[in-house]
Amino acid sequence: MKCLKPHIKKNIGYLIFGPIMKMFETILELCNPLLVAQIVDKGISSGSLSYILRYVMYIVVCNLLCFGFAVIGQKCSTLVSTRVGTGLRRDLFSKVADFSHAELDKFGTASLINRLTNDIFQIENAVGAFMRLLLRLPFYLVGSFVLSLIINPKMSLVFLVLIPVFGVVLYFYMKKTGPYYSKIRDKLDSVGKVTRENLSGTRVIRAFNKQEAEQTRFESVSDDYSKTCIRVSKISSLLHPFVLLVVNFSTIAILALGGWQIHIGNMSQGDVIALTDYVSIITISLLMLSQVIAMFVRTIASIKRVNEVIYTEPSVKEKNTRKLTRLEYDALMEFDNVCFNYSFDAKEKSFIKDLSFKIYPHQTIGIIGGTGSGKTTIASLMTRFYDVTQGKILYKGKDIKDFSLKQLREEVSIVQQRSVLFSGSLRENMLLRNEKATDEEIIEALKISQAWPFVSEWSNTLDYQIMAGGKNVSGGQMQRLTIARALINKPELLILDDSSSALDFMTEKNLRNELKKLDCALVLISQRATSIQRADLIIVLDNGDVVGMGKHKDLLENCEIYREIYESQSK
Amino acid sequence: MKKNNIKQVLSNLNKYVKPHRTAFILSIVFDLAAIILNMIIPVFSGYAIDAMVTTGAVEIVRLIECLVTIGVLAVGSTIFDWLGNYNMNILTYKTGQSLRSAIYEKLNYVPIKFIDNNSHGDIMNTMINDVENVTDGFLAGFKSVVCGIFQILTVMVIMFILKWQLALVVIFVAPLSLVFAILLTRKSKKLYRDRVQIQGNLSGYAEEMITNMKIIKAFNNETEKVGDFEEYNQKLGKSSEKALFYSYLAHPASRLFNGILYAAVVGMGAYMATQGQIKIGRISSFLSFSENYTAPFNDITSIFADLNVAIASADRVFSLINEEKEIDDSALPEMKKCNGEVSLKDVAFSYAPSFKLIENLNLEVKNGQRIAIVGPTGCGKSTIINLLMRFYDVNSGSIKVSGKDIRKVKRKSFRKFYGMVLQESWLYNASVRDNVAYGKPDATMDEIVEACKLANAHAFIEKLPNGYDTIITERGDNISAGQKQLLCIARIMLLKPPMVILDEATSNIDTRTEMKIQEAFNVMMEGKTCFIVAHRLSTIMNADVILVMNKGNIVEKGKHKELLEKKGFYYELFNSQFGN
Repeated sequence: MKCLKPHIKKNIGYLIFGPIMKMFETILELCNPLLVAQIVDKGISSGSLSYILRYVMYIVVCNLLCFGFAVIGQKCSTLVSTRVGTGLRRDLFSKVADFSHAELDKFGTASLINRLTNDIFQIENAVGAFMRLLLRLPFYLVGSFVLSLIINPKMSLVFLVLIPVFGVVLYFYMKKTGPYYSKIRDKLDSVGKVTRENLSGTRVIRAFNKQEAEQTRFESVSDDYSKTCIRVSKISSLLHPFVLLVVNFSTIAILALGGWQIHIGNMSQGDVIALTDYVSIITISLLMLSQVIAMFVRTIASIKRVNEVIYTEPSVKEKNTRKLTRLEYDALMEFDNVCFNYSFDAKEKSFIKDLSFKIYPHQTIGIIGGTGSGKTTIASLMTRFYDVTQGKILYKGKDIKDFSLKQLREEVSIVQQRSVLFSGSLRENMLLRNEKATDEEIIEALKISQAWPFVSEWSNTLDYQIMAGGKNVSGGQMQRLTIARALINKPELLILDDSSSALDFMTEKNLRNELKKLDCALVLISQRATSIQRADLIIVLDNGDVVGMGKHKDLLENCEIYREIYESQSK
Repeated sequence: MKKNNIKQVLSNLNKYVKPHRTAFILSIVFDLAAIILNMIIPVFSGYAIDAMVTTGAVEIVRLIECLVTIGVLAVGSTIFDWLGNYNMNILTYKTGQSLRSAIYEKLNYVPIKFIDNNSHGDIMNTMINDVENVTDGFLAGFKSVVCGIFQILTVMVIMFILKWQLALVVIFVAPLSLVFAILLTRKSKKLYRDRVQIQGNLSGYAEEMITNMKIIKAFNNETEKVGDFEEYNQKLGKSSEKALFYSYLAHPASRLFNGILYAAVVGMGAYMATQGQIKIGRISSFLSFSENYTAPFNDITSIFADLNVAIASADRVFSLINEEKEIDDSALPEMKKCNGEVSLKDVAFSYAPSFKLIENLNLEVKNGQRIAIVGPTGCGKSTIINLLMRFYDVNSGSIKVSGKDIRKVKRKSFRKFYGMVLQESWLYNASVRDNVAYGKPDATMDEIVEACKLANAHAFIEKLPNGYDTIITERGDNISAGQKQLLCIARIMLLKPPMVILDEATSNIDTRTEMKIQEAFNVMMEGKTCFIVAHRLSTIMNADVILVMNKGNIVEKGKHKELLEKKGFYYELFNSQFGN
């Protein structure tokens, strides 16, 4: 519920005003049976038509006023529910923007999107339902009770019993069915999982002629799901009839007690009719409650999921937001006994172990190793996407944590593995690092990254519309464009994480030559030995371990893994 | 048009409801019984009120009779109501299950083209959410409509029996609220449509940004993106406010009309009572009836709103279920033997008629030969595999395996002679053992171990926490990319098919690991007819025939040395990869 708090506070005006409107609405609605009682007891017995007509008009006016209040109340509830939804979406999205990679990895893209859209939508609906339907309930209950007290205190006993009985029933209902809902959710997830596996493996399945076996596998998870649902429904379908039963027995109680009270002269016929009316008003609102309850049970799960995101603190924290200038340093960046693992716990076994090296201005560093050897991890540490678990990274002679993230990422530019462009014009994409970059600067960057030859051939060059995920440019073009994007604003350290793998040899060579001319240090991460063999320092990784560090020639002699990589590619 | 839609959906749905019709019929019967019993209760509560006219004149026996009757009716209707609900739930879930099975089955037999051309996310959405919308919308909706109409009729009959003059008042005043609700729905429909549109825009934007949040962070661009998102967000908020307000008006409006009806019944009833035509208890009964009579009208209007959602979902569900299957091959003969020879004759193929791809492809492959297919990314290398496995049919020409046209034998019967390893090593969420035995579920443990040894996988499997019983996680992240491919090789080793297809089987693996598992590949390919799609030329240099593809066409064909001497496209390709 925590995530709702600030929004409740912000909309407190409507949250108070809305229920007040609801209160007037219910009070007026509860007047109806009293007016009827007057007609029955006084109008009919006296036979006065004008009296009857007057009271009928009262009922009509009462309902018109009721409608007016309801409309205002409705307006309040839509305002609150949509504002809560809008607010939560904003909170969640800006939280995600604050997340460091650790949190992004932990939640996963699909889950975050789901929470942002479906879960918040569910909450929005529930808040609306709460304001519109549930808030009336206490007024109905209290109102009916008070009125029954006025009509005949002894009769109010029925209401005094009726209301707690409902409370108990609902409590047990929630307690019994609540846990089942998450179970059902999991089982439905399994149905989804098997379907996803089928879609991604359709060729393999058919090549192995396993369609029937797959069908059986699906039937079993699907059957499990519907069986669980049916089991729960045995309980959940009890709620509605049970509510009816309680209400009917309350009617019986009212009639029995009413008969007795009339007999001893404490009450009139009209009063009994009014009281049975109250019972039926309560019934309708309780039935509504029973329908909304199921919705709330599901919403609690959604609130938890949204809460989890909003109250997760990003693991990478900024100590300082000012720009540090006039620093004196020798090495641009230095890894000093760095250890790191993905559980972010210094006590756990390290993935990267005791890594130390220095990057001097204008140097080129090469990092090579197989898949999963830790190359990208090191790049992510340089840009502080993750924090080291032990040791230190120094940038310009100071701890990397002393810099603002803004300054660090302005000066250290990275082209990530499988980097993509966003939907929008090419120019918009190029302005990501600096909104004010001129077309000349963009074209210069495109020339360096070897992208200008094909961009200049596009009829609308910089205004070329890129589709989401860059679907309308080829892999090689994408790599060159994302490199150009990272060059804008002249970084002091440029990291290319496997970002030239789709380029042919000549283009890559030209790119390397151009990059060499820039006024910045370069970190090249690659699986290709040819891409990094001219680097000033090559770091060879194998499963997180540094197995070699030095120049190409030395490594060929001394590092077996480097030699193997080199040979596996030069045959 | 909308009516036709509903009709069509119902006739489609009928097939999946039929097997569960017992539950369907029971649910309706029980519900109708519950309604009848429940509708009689006000009659007796009216009698009860009439039995207590005034002080000292209460007919105790009559009152007790009435109350006992109400009690019996209440218990009865409760039980029937529960049984009705329960059976309805059985029907809903079972029908959902049938629909899902039908979709799943269809996915296994549609042409691969369908799977390739449709977003998997959309298909998943249909499988999970749309099915639920259909069962909830149509079945629950249908029940509500049937029960609602029945309740209206029951109440009408009872009212006419009790007092036809009052009945007329109720019957004519009540539907006013329906008219109002319909007008309101019309107004809110357009607003809802706008809202759905804006919501789609917001989701699309959020999806792109969250997917690429790591890139955005590298560029310090978070604040701008949060700002952009907020614009979409505000727009959505504004449009929701409007749409919701109008649709929520329906409820208070219907209560207003109920109130007016209430007043009319009381006024008319009281007048008749002064004339001595009606007893007070009966007026009370009528007040209950007027509520019971209008309630279904309100329910039905809200059902129509849900129905729109259900129809859209049903369209998707049934268009998937009614998707054409692959051409039926049940009448075709089995292919019993295979000598490993493959021949392609004048093969032409394209995915879309306007975009020519493969033309005039001729190829004779002898048993044990190694055919390599190379070319730049996106040149259509995998297309040939699609044709060989008959995932797609050729447009003209023919492909023969062992002298038989593959279109003239059962698909299953010739596919089993191929072993296939793809770029994405497809493993499923089950044990290592089950994954290896995928093509031969009745394999003994010894056979499995033997295959894994041949594939060089035994050693690492033994080191896994539970050995052969280790469960491969859903994301497959408990073993490495190289190890996954070894399991896929082991899978083939278990079957020993005469022909093998490798489609970029090592492209997700680094070259050093590739070198290490190359041995396993060599063992697998030994003595077999092999088709190898690769972008790493080093893996295919000793092939018998190299097919060089560019932009969908086969531009060169020959052995490595011949092709190099030709100094053509292959030469360029080779140099761009390995030149110095």
